[in-house]
Amino acid sequence: MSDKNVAKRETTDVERIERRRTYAPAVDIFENTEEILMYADMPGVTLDEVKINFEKNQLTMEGTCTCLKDYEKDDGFVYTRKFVVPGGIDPDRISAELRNGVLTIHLPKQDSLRPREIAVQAG
Amino acid sequence: MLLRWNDIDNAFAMLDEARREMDRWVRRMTEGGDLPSVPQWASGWPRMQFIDMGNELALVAEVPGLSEKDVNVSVNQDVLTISGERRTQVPEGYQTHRHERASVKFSRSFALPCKVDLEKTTALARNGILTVTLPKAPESQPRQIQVKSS
Repeated sequence: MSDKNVAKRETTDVERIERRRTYAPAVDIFENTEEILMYADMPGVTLDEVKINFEKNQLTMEGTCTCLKDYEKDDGFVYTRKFVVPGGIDPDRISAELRNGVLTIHLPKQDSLRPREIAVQAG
Repeated sequence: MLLRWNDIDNAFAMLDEARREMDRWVRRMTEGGDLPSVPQWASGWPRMQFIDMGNELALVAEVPGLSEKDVNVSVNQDVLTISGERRTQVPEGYQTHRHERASVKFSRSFALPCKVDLEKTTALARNGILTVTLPKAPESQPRQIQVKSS
């Protein structure tokens, strides 16, 4: 017999719909000949709660902050942002670090795409 | 009528980015330049909350990129002040595609609503979150008043 009280549905349903608040973190993107460098502000996120996904030239970063649970009566919130990355990035050498709530991602470019000098011969 | 809450949350994330875009646009109109590298006084950053937890007061501020040496916390005559500076320089030799994290200086002050025990006050900066905990003085602790019938 289904519960007629619509307001309480979330506690009686078998499926629990995730309702964390989502924010887009502020991001800096810089580039030089070797790599693309990205910084993202994710305060309160620890190493075990951050995920970076790189698939088919789309980079998705996601960080969950549950450390303010004592002060806010909810499940925490999520910082997420997606970027389309130009081709020519070497996915095996992508590295990232998280320090003081700032996520730094290094996307090194493939060696074949580095600018190179072409020797001119007299012909 | 099942609403998908995730869709609504993502819409608010887009509004965050739209608001930042507007901030940049207004700044560009008034200053005629890109994001300045000298720290500017910020009014909306860092986001913080000042909460009365019952037996203590707590100030939680989101300060990504700042460690314990970059923020100053002081209490002076029942006013709590937080200040600091964050520099986000464009690294040498790099071209800028997007620069949303501006260099900022900030200083925010809060009037304390009750007496606090300054000896036991702690401030912790971890993972980019600064938490200042001010336990209330014994005379300011909440207490139950007994109700009598005669």
